[in-house]
Amino acid sequence: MIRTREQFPLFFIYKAFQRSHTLQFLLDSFHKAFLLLLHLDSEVFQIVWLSITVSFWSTIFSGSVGLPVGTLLALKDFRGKSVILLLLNTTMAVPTVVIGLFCYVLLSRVGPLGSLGLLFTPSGMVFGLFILATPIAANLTVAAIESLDKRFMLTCKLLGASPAQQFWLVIKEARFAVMAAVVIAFGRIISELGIAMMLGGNIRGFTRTMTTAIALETSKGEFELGLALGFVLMAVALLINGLLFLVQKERS
Amino acid sequence: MIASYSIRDLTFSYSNQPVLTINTLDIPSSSVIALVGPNGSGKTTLLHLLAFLITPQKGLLSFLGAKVSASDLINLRRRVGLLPQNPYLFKCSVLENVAIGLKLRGFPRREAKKMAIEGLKKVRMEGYESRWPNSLSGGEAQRVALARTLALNPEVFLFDEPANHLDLESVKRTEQLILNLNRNEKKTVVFTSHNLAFAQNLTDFVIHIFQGQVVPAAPYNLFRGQIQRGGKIFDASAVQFDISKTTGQGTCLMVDPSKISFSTQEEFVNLPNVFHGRIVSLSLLRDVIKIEALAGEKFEIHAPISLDLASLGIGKDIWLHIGPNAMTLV
Repeated sequence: MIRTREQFPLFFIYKAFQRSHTLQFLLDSFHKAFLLLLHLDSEVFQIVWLSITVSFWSTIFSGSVGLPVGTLLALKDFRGKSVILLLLNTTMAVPTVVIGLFCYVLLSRVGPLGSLGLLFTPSGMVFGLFILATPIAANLTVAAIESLDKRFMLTCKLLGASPAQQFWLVIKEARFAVMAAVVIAFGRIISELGIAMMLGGNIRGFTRTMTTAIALETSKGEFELGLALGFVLMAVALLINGLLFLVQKERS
Repeated sequence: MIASYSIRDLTFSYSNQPVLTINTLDIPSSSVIALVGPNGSGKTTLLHLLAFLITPQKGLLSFLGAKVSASDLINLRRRVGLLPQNPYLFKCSVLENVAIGLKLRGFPRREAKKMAIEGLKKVRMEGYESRWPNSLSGGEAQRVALARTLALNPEVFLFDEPANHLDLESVKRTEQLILNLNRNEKKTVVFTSHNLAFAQNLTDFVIHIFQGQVVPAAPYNLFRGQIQRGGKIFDASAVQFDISKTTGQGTCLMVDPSKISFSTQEEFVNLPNVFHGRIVSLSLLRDVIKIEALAGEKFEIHAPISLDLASLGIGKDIWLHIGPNAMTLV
């Protein structure tokens, strides 16, 4: 017996999709999004590139401040340490628009850093994202070092490590957790919308990042570019976390 | 000969509570010294003090004739090698673990590696170089830590309970190692132990530590307390001793276990310092019978081996008489 196309159940589902306008629209958007990625559309490429470079530098800066600060906070005992830890924890919970607002005031023409002319530039975004991610990196580093074995510091000392050597040994010993801290900071930065929007201004071809572009395109009701960028964001997240997973697996 | 360490009127306190008080203690160079005492007596604290990990609040500690100053601790730590009771291995390969102390001392990478391999050979751990600590058994990890200490070739070795949790063969090997370090390399070795027999096997110079103080003999029957009624009564809270004929000064009363008279019948009528109790354990030491009796406090009695054992038994009543010559105040 010869089956006609109409006899396959999947074909009916496909037809049903075709008949529905909404679904048709969505399928079209997905289709166009894939085409944009496939053809390496210059606008998509530029947006992705800017997002990644801005996130990269923000992560580098916040890591190079957050890791030493976190290490010192974990190792040293001093008056007011708990207050600083409390403040650091609080900054992690501050809404990003508030951080954006704070940095906007700092960077605006009348603000104390206004003369640098950083507002609505990629450097301005890096500044805001740095303010966002540094407490995260510092806090996670404190947690990573405090979870080290109690005998660790004693062993460093009895082997004759100077304070600077102890500092280095600590970071080395907690490297897997510290790496996770950096990755988490990067993830937080690359997915950040409020600060990127307020300090970057979402200027096409200059400060438009993946998240600001997605927000804009969605509000315009045009999904294809947004979806394409959404896929890239997810792919970046998957890649970074996959790398971290591999490194941590190596340890055991 | 210059003493490796010399201690005068030293006090180390932990949150204002003195945990170690030592009037005089000298550790000669190229000697093997055992610090013996029960758990929590302050042995490890003293060992950490000798490793310059902590500094005394009061008193003098000198190392090879020079006073230990707080500004020079890092350099001093690099001249001694401490092996803790429960050592920690870093999260890196066995070879790197052994080489780490050498690298901290500024040895070039290649030389440090060579010395680390030598260290691993000494504890027969060749072939483990690229293994990670989490793949080692407890005994293997202990040996890696030992190799790490040996590779540093310090002037003084400090071992914290080296015979703890080891099987008989490993204990023998540890004894041999300590003797080799001392006899062949003329190193000073200080180790702690709560096992007097192990300590006496290795050295004649045993320092007894009890409740943070150096005491003149094995800390059997040591009681802390206060002297009352014009020096006539020593109150150790659970028992009171008549010390009117006892010489010495101090807050610690020591009762020589071999000088306690005892009987299983009610004797010693009208004598001072007679305590009635029960036998809680009986055991054979090298050349004496060890009787532990509970009479307010726990007393240890050493009786000659020729004693007729028939009348003794766990749970039986016992009367102890502690004469003035059995007691010393320290």
